Amino acid sequence: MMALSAVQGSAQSSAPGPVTPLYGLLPQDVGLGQIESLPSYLYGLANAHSFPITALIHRVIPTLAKLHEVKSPRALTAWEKSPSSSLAVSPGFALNLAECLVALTGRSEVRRTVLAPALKFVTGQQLQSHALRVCPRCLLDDEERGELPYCRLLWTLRSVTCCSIHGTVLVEAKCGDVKSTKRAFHSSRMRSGGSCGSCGSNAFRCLTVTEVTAGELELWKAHQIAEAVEQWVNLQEESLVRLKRELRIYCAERDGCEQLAVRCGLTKSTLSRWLNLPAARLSLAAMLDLCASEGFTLAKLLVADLTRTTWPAAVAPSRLKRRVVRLDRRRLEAALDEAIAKGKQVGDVAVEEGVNRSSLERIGALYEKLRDQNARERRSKRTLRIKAAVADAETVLRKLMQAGKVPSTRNAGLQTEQVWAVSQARCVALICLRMKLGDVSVSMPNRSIALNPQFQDEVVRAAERLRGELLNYKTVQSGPTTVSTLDAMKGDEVIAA
Amino acid sequence: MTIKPSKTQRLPDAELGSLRREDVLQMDAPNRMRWFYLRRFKHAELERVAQDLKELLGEDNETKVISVIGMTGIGKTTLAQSIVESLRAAARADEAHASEVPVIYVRAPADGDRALSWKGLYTRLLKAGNEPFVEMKRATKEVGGVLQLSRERSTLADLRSYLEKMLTHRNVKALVIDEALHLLRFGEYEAIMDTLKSLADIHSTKLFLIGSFDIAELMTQYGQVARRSEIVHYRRYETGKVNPNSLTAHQKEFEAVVAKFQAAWPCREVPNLEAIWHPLMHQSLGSVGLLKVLLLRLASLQMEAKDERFLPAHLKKAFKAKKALAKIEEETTQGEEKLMGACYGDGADLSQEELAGVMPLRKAA
Repeated sequence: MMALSAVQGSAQSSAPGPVTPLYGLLPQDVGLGQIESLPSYLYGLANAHSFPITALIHRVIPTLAKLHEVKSPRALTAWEKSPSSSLAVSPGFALNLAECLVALTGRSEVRRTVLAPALKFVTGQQLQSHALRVCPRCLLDDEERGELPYCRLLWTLRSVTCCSIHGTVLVEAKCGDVKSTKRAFHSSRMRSGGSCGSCGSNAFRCLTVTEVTAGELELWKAHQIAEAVEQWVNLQEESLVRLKRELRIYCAERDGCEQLAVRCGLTKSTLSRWLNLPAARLSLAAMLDLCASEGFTLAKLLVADLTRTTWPAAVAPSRLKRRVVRLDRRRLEAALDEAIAKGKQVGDVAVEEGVNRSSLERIGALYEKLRDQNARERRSKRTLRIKAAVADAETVLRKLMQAGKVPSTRNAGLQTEQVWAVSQARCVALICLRMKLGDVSVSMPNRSIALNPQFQDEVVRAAERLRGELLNYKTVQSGPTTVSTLDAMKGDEVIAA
Repeated sequence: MTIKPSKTQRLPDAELGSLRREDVLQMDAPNRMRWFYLRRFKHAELERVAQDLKELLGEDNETKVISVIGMTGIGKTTLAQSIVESLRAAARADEAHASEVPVIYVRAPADGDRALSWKGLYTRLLKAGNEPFVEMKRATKEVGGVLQLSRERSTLADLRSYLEKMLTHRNVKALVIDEALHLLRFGEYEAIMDTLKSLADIHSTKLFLIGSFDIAELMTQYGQVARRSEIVHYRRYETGKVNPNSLTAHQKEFEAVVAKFQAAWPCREVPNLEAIWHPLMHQSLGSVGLLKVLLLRLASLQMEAKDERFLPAHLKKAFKAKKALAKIEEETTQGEEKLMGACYGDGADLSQEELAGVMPLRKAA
């Protein structure tokens, strides 16, 4: 153990640096590119400290970051609805959060849990999958090892469609336990990164999808990316410059840049721009196509090693060069006519006909008719959504007040056995209704829907209805704190906003 | 370092402690008193205790509960704090261990309750372990096969589970509980020791209990605990009668300590303390800690006098009242009797023949 120095003649001692405010928890990693993703790591951190995840995200991290003068990311407002997508929206934001966690935990390994290091080499375009996908077998393996199941960073990449270890297609993590009564306890449930966000089952046992074996190309891609994930955090940007120089020599020694572009399914201008501009990047899918066509290995390519390997026949570029075909006006007019009759979306027609939207625009009147019809539908849907949200809020507020309870979002959740998060329109409606009824203990939620005139009209109408019914809703303001009470004082005047 | 004579602001301890006496003499009285208070001198008994603790703290040593017991004012807390400092400095020398808290130091709570407040002790330990937002923590419970966070406030069992997590994640090597006497208010020694021992079992953590002779009974009474526990007795020097021709080792050591204090005297006019080393030893009952308290009082009286002149009358005021001194001595003697043969290093004596037999065989030159 440590040497115990006897008390010296001087009172001075070597002071160690400050202790990190959060535990130095390491991200889980079983090797082979299976590092934990940042949302999963946050769940692990919350569990280790016995904090509810929302408390960690909204209170603990921002407060500690402020105290320790660490740059803090802005609030993760959509966390309750979708942890993975809230981080997937912006890799830069995820990196900020990771840097903040590095400072608070003292673990530089947290930087490996985000995709940001990859952005030095590839574009962010279609890099991440917004849907959470998992390999149930990997999660069960985690449990067998006696650890909490965790989500891998690899699974968040759109180009990875299968598990590189088990060779099975990744499954979208949609809860199959539709009748679960545990949903009401969403916010209080103890979760790990590898447990279902809806029913709480560990290792996503609620998934009902059957296992599908991945194809050779999918598996090859998963292996290539897994190898690259292992090393990309240590790569320097200079290696990209070196790679481009090596590739230019490679093209010059063979049949030129144009032929390389043809082989790997890129346009000549894209490849040429990438090779000649030092900061230009290709998408991850394009890099994989380059490897597939030329026999390179992605992990080696990133360090400018152009060693060639013979890949199986199934490994070929998956992105085809865009074809230019003549526009068949009659066919498109017929398709648009049909879409107007059936109420389809413009985007769906474009996909079905294999054209882009600008091609459809050339059809003129029919396109505009369908577009306006789509817009009307969207507006009516939004109106319905707003009405439903306000009606929900009105109903729950009425019930809670009749039961003599404070109409808080927490009580609303308990009353309806559903999640009432501030990111939902009905939750915003509930808060706005309380404000309209004169409750000064709540403030306007920072949500765009709260400023929508139509939404506000609905809230005012609902408040009018409630005012007539609930004369006992009274607000008492006492000193610096404001208390909302329900003291059933019939006949008292309502304090209106 | 040059210090301006007019310097009157209070310097931080670390800076003040590193100054030389010549520099400090130019400063104002409060700074000089603080500097003198910060002086710590090596002496034989302190080094023996430090060596014993070093052996007991070794990773291969299976001792789980270590108690440091000594008479009132001997300097147990100062010793504990220096242990804490040295353990911290040794364990967290590099960045890789930035999240670790190698040692946690708390004082056992004395909050006026009749019974021992485990909740209070656990909360103190959590806060001393740099645990953020203890009040926001929630325990988990299993409901319908799903782990859920409790909505209620943390119970004693919950606090215990947070503490266990903290000891593991922070890699705590030693848990130091000072004023361990307050743990005894509950009376059920066995229950207290079982709980404390289980704390030490969590994560190869060693438990330090620091207190006066009252905790000796707690430590020696229970066999199961005693099996993996050791008592380190921080002894005072034996006063005895003075024979100027042959001083005992204890007397020589004490005289040397008095000389060190004299060399660091915080006033320009330095009293000849070495001349009265034996009355000083008698007044402090052979305890270096009590000697320091006495000398601090003496220095304070001298500083308040005109021109900071030392007067023999100061000695009379600085010395403890006879009755109070007799009472402390009586309690100390009783405590020392309790500890006789129960401390670390008090193993069975071997005969000369047996000792000769155990020596390794060496080839003749």
